Amino acid sequence: MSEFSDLGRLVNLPLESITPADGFSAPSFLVAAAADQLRATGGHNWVPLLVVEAGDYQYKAIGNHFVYAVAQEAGLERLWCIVVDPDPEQVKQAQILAKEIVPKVNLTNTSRETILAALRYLAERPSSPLKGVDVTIAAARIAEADRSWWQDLTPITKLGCKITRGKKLDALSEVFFVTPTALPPTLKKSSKRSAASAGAKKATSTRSRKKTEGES
Amino acid sequence: MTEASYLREKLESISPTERVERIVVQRFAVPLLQALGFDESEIREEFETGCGQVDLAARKNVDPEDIFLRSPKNPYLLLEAKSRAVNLREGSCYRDAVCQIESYLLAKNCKSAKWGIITNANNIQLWRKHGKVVHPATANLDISSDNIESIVRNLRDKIENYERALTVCVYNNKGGVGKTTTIINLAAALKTKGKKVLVVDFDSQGDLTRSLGVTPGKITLTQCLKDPKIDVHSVVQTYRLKTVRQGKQSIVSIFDIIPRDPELETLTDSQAVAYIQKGTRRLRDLIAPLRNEYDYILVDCPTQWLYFSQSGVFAADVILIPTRPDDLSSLNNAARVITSFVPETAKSRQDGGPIALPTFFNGVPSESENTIKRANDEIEKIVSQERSMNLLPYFWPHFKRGNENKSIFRIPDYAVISSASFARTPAVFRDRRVLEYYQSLAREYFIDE
Repeated sequence: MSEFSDLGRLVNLPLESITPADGFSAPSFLVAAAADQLRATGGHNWVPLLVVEAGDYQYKAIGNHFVYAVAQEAGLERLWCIVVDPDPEQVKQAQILAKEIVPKVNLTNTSRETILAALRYLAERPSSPLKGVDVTIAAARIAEADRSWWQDLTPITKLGCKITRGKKLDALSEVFFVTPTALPPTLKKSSKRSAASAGAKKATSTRSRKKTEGES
Repeated sequence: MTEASYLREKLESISPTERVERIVVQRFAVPLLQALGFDESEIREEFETGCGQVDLAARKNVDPEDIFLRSPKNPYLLLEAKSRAVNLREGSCYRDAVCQIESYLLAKNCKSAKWGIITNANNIQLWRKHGKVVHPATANLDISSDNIESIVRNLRDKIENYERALTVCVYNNKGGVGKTTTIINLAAALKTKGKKVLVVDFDSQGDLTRSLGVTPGKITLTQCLKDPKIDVHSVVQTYRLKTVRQGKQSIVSIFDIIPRDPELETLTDSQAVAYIQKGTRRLRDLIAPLRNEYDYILVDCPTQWLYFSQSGVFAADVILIPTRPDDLSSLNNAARVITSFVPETAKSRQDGGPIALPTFFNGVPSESENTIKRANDEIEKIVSQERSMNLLPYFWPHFKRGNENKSIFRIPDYAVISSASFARTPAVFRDRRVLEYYQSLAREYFIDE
């Protein structure tokens, strides 16, 4: 890390220089009680806010948003922050580690164990839409299926494991993504057919040319 | 069609392997100068600098009677073009082109020139002249059709807003070489040459502030570092001297100073530095509003390559490196500054700067020819062992093939220099010889007289 970069540094920033996240909300009880604790212990937040530089002396919060909400409630003027690399993949990594977002795995090539663990994670969440789904069976069927051509998650609905379109499939898209590496079976067949028919046509045209040549 | 989009069209018309320099001049360099705001009557080809012909020179026609094309005098900008076959990205061809534009800018017919450009339509770099100093104003940029318009905007902005000050950081990674003494006396010598100078005491020990007897005001440098909203003018003070002329006492302003305050000491702790937004880059921002108010801004910082010295070097256009001939470690540390710290800082700044000036010998005792010889032997060793860059111009700036001149500028060791801090008066005002030496230092490195 360069001496001339703040990336990775713990810095103490004025609250007013930080733009908080849009749409973050936390229960007011938690915020107020945490603010009391922060005030009572001297106002040094030991868990830092995650920020990226957004301009000269301007920062944007990208993770640990609860810390910002609490600091504001506690009336702090300055806040300890970690400056994160603004590269989108690095920001995503920081947000995953801060549990701001859920990491996704590539269902095209992931293992049965990972599929099972991901489905369990979804099923065990409060008010999970996967209630009634046997995750062991679902994971086994998904793992056995040829997923190399999947362009989205809808083929799961045809595996007979009670995962249907709507809330259940939407829940799965929180943890899975796909990057197809093969053509769908229907396209594979049709491309074989068209190759075969192109060969047949070529043979016919050669025959007809020969015939014409013979006639002449 | 705007000049910039016309330029892009012209750029695209040049073959990627174009070997004829003239094609680059006519299809790229001339349209470039037009995009930078010079019309046809303000551009002259093959301008005689007094040290050879530069491909193009330009100057605005302010007086309708004085058309630059017809009377090619007092150029403002010079441009040296190369064909695309010449590698201007790096290596010896690039360094040769830099030497060429530098010698043209310093030539006798170009006293008025402020800017130099080197380009081969693949790469371009803008150089700025301030007195005798020629330093990069941009990084060496790769040109493409996609970025040529933004390059033109960037260059035009710089050329049209020439900043008055040269920011100089006096630094060596070895202590005891007389950095603070150099700053005080150089600032005073520059004042005697009519220059307006600001010195910044960015050493938490505060030797500079103390030796001038300055006390910080209500608003301090540390507060200003921590709060970007504070106006930097509120921490600037003036160092004045009492003078007696024809029996009359008067007080004369010598130079301005941003003094060190006691709280600056706390910034030796990295936890305290965490309160400074942009860390080591903050000082450069802090002094930026003053760059049009002074001719020279001199920054004093301590020896170790930590927060203070990193900030000072980051803030500077050029680094002046004092050494001592009797302290071989000061020579090795100077080499370290040149080969490591300065390029590291430049890489991070991404605007070509800062650069190191040639080193000089400080505090040279009389009859010290043996010491100088030993120092030169050590320099020879340092230069021959350094593989990453050619250190010769930094130690022996007058050394040329066929003329192995190893002279290094010297400031002698006068007792009055070291005792001056007790008198709260720069030594240059206490001893005429000292004044002459520091004026020579100013002339050797900075002032074009």
